[in-house]
Amino acid sequence: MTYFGDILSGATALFQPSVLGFMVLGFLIGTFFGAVPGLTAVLAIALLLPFTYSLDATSALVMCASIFMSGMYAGSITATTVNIPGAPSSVMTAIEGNTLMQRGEGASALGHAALASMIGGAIGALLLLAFMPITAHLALFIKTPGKFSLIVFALVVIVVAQRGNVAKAAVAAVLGMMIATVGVDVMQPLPRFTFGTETLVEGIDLMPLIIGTFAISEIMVQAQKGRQAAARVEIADAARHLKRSAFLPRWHEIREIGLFTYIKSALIGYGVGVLPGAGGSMAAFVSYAEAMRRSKRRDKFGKGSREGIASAECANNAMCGGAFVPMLMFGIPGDPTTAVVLGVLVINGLQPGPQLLTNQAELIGPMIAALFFSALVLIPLALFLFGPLFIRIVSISKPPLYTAIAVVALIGAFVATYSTFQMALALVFGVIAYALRLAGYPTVTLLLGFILGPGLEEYFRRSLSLSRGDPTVFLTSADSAVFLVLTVVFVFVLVRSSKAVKA
Amino acid sequence: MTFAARLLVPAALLVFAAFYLREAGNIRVLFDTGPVGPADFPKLLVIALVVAVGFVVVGEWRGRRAPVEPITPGDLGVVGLVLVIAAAYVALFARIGFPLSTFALSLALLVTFARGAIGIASALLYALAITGAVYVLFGFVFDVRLPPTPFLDGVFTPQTPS
Repeated sequence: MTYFGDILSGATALFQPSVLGFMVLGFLIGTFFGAVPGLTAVLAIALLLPFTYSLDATSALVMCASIFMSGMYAGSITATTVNIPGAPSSVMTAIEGNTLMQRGEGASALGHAALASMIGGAIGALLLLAFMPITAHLALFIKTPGKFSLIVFALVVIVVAQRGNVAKAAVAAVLGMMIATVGVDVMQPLPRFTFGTETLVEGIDLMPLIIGTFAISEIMVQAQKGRQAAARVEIADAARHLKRSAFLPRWHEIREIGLFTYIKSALIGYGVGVLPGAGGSMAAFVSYAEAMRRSKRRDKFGKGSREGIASAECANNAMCGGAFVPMLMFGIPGDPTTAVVLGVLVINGLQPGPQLLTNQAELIGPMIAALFFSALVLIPLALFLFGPLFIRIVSISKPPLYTAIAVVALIGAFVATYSTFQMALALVFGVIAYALRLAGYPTVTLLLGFILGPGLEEYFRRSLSLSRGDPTVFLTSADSAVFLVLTVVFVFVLVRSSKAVKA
Repeated sequence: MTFAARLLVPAALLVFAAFYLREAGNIRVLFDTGPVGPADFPKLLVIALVVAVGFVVVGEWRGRRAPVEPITPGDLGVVGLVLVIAAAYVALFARIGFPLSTFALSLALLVTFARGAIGIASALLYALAITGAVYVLFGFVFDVRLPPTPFLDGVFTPQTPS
């Protein structure tokens, strides 16, 4: 059977009642976490991670895909209503959406955000489906030195993409790699950095690191912020004035934005998503800037432009599809959420790589289908049915919410090995991540360093072993040279665009 | 945050790097796996960390006059309290069991997050609801074996670990 046949056949699993139920549940969880400022889709998937031990891999991946898509879209809810982006990728939406909200057109802004998210998310999922076989084919040509250079490329792009924080991002990435060296050596059965204890011989588990970095540190950040009662009143007031019918975007407004803007934004979002570490905020920003540059109504940007909302939301949802490409084919996460999804794959004993398409189509199919259906069906349906309710959810009392998250996070860390050591480890990583966040270090790069570090070391040592210590192997091997050239090109482009933004 | 305070993380990282380097020096080789041994990559990481920390310090020095969001000692105190409560929970979880430890954790965190502005009855009800919901989720839906509280057996009964 062909690739598309395999994937479509696998996608039918999505319509099994239990799997469909997990997709809808994931969508609602993602919407909740995306809508509440401070909570993110990454945190939702991090909290879901312990449950994947009990769930089957298909349901877990479908749920992750659904959380990812809905979390990305839901960030626009508070961005529009109270000018607090629910997710970093909704900053552009906050600028335009909240201006519309103040003019009494908040429902229209939310409707356009949902429509653009729907189009972008669906196109992103289709592009993922279309380009995966090509990427998988290319992945087969990459040899050991090339794999090393690919990881170098990913790490460098991830670090440089943290605009304004490059040195701190590099520190966090190296720290992540150092943590990953604890345990048995990558090439021989030799324990390293175990301090004579047996507990550390198996290395540091991904679960406490993820829970500590994303859940525990978030709890500490929220504890530091205290209560935000004023925002609750504002949100409840905003919700009262929204009517369900007002969420439907008007046809003349859609025509004003234009099909080309939607498609271009989706392509930008997907392309940015493929880049390791770039994420939704960069996708939204690049797409918004491009839409503003080309727009006939440039003067409306910053003053409540629906075109601005459409370009940003379309791109950040299309990014979801793109971010899965490097994760599934190379084991290199495209953004923080896919880094955690990679953890779900690993926990279920799945190895990312081209063989996933041939051997595990029954898993990949439902996941891509979940991305597609979450975007195309659930986003508009959820907004129409539950729009006003979602906004009220945002005003939920924070102390019980954060307490519940803390309890789930700590018990979740226990689940992996039924050991309180993992809970303690999660707490330690939470403290480290909190200190790093407080000082402005991006903890996402710490996680990506931890995930990519062992591969970097293994391919580095294997390459030099095969070339008998000749480091020029990284330049003479064609695949490796391509990635090193790409690294230089991307650094140049990112640094240049960063300077342009500052100017 | 003052310039000196901003140097706390770089300083801690340098101490960690020194400690890590010393441990890397203690790694023994079982057999030859090529020109780069098991201790060499960690040593390269130490160099990378020190260089990156150097750039961070230079960046902090250049931006020392930039305004930063102030953090009050009270806010940090709340964070510390959350940490102490969580650490106590980890220490007591296996000893006194899931129901009692989780109820106590929930209650303590609720009061801390609300900064004391929560009624006793509300706090008790929320703590009970959170403990029950988490038990249903982990112990019942996902069949996770949670440590029991002996004297609560039969009242609130998680499965006994095998």
